[in-house]
Amino acid sequence: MLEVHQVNAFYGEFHALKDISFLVEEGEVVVFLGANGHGKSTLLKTICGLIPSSTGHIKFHGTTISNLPMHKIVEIGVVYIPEEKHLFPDLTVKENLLLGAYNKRARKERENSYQFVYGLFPRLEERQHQIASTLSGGERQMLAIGRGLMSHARLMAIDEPSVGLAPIVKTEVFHKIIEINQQQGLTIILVEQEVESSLAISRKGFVMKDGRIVLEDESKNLTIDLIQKQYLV
Amino acid sequence: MGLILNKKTIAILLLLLLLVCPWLSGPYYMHLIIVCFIWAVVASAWNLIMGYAGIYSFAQLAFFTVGAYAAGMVEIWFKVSPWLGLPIGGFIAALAGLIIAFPCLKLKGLYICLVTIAFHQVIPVFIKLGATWTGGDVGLMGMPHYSLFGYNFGSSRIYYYYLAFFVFLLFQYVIYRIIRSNIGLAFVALRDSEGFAESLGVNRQKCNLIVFSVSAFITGLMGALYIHYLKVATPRTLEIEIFAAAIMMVVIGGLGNFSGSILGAFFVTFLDEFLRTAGLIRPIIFGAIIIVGIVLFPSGLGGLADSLFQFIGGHVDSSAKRKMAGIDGNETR
Amino acid sequence: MHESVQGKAVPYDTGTMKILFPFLNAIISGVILGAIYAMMSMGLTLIYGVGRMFNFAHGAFIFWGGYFTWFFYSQSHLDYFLSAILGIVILFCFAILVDKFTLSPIRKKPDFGITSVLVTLGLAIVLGNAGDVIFGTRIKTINKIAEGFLRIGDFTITYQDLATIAISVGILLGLEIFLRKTTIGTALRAISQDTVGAQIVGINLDRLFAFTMGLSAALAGISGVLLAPKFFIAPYVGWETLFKAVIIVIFGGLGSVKGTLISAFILGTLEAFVSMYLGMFWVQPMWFILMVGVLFVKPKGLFGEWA
Repeated sequence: MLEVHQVNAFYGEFHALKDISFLVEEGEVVVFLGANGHGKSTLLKTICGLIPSSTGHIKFHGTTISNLPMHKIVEIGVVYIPEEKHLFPDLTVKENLLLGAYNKRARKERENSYQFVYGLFPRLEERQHQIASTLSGGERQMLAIGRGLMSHARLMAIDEPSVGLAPIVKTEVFHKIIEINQQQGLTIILVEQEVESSLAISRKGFVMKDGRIVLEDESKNLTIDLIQKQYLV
Repeated sequence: MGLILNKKTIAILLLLLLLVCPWLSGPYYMHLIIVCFIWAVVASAWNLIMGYAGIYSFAQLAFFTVGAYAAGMVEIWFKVSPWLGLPIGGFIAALAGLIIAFPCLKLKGLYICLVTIAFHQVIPVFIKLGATWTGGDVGLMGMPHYSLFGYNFGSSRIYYYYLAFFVFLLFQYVIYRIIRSNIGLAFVALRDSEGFAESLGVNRQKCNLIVFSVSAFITGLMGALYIHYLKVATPRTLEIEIFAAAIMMVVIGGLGNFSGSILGAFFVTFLDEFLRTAGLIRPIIFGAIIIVGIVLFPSGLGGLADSLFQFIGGHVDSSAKRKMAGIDGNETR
Repeated sequence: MHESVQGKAVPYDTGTMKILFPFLNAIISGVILGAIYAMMSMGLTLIYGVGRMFNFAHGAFIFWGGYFTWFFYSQSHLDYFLSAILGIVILFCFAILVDKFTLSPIRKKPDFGITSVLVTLGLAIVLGNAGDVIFGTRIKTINKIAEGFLRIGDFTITYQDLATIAISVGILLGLEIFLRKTTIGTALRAISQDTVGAQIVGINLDRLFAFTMGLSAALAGISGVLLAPKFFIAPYVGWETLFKAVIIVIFGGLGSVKGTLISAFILGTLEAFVSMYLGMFWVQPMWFILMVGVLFVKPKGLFGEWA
């Protein structure tokens, strides 16, 4: 479904992604692991169109999406949920969700999408007229994911959904991700620091170091030892 | 061994040409070039604060006028020697620069823009209010001429020519040295990465105060020189047309490009002269050039000149090469 | 003994009337001015809030609103309203083109803050003088929208002023509804709060920036039409209105629609009072003092988040 081939990306002079190639099958949950600063977030941003790639290509269901403007990529069905969430602080929960369905495909389905998101995150429905900046950390993460779901995307890239959350909330977030994946068949690319939990919910795992993929395997084969070895090498 | 065609050589040749210009052409061109010399320094000082330090200051013309009036008034009412009037004009302008700089210290880019424009708008009001001393709308007249070794500068344009040339060389050199100095690097660092620069120990407040007062001093002094040449100081220097022309010089030259402001000043002065008969179309052409310049030629004439050297090839010497790579000198983005 | 002055014939109590009459007149003038000023400044706020830029040519758009109306009305003998509407539409389209060709190319660069100021300054100069070139330098005037006046008790208010208030309030209300209830309006608010977030939900920023520019110019143009009968139609009107609009917008808080609204009415009323009690002469100095005060004392304004 998603084909990334020999992608390189730069921040100015800094070579952030080096010859990245991998495949993601439809309906999978895959996770990218690695220390901070080694390119995980950059990879998601490049796939989703926030950062340009200088070589190679990225294809989604056969359509080349590399270096398309972001609004087109969202239209095609790839949505990005960043670590910083980038919610609209002075808009209500409902307004944030409304905009989540901004792209044409999603607009038609908007009412249904509200139902789905509220079903998944009842607390968002309770607070639908509340201003986003007044939400708690966990609620904001739910809103960020909910807003992403409104886009009627087929591939969702989520950057560190559990960061900064209390353990109970972290578990809830991971459960919701499983739910989304299983109920909607949504393909999910995850970037995470929570190694165990994310390996538990994913099919494939990749370890990134220095902008490269240094380890790639089915999640069940990836053990903590193997991963730690990469960090220490 | 061929001639080494680099920026330095060309510059020296041009300077030599300018040196002998009075004997090659008549008073008309001398006049134009005198004006060019003066505005080139003003443009360079403006480029210093806006291009290198990245501060959106639009008060430069106001400093020019403040320096001019300060010098003129001090010479007329206090009988000060016109030579002394020059630095006095500069210092008063620098004082004004500091006054403006202080509130700007805590303001962000756009607000500095508005404050400096407000300052620019306020000056003519003061000039009119103090009409008894400033001559109001009619203008300030009666400044004594410069004289040196018994030569009265008022008797022939050629004196002003060499005076302006000398001042031009002097202050272009000063500005050049400032850009190359530690302070200059500090300005640029603050412009490009403020947080990072401050974490390295650059004192933003101090730098801003310095750049405001220095650029104001230089500009104010040029203002003083200008009105002596013109024989009158009026608030008309603050009108939109001159303002547009001055901005054009900096923009066309290329923000942050040292030789650019000089080229820009010469270009605009000659263009202005050329279009003198065009009447109402003139400001429209100016405005259009500003727009086109920024959108299509952000590195300006200075950038074009650098590219030209690259194209000609010649022997691009190592310092020019480094300049083009943006390592030193050509501080464009 | 005296009754309220609401439209009833009042037995004269000269003392109170003397104090009340000018006071109420000033209030009414203040409201009228406030409405016009709100229209005049709203575009500037919008373009800063959404586009994060300062449009120096805003005054020029205001002035051209009046200009187009004058042109179509007096030269082509089109109906007054049609002239105005045609002019606004042309301004809208023109502003969109300006954004596409001059602002869009420079938007991505880090020095956009200053380059946008310089480009719009150039634009303001071109637009300011284009009128003189195309139409000649004689000052133009246009008629009022409505003649005559309304008498309420001892107060008179011209139909022109009533029409001005009605149109201004109507359009401002329309704008508020647009921003709050429509998807695009909400998208504009979103862009002003988080541009990255806006990209993430798939908003086409370039298109909306251009739209905002057009909307801003249209608002400016409308205020130009409303202002034209009060003042002449000449380029300096553009600069003077820009000057006031900047103060109003900063006082209210750059980018805050609510702030601009409140600020416009406060400052409009202030001007009316200054004019009534101190005389027309003091209006200009009042604005100068306000400018200094606002910029030096409280640049954040009433509702601003950015200083």
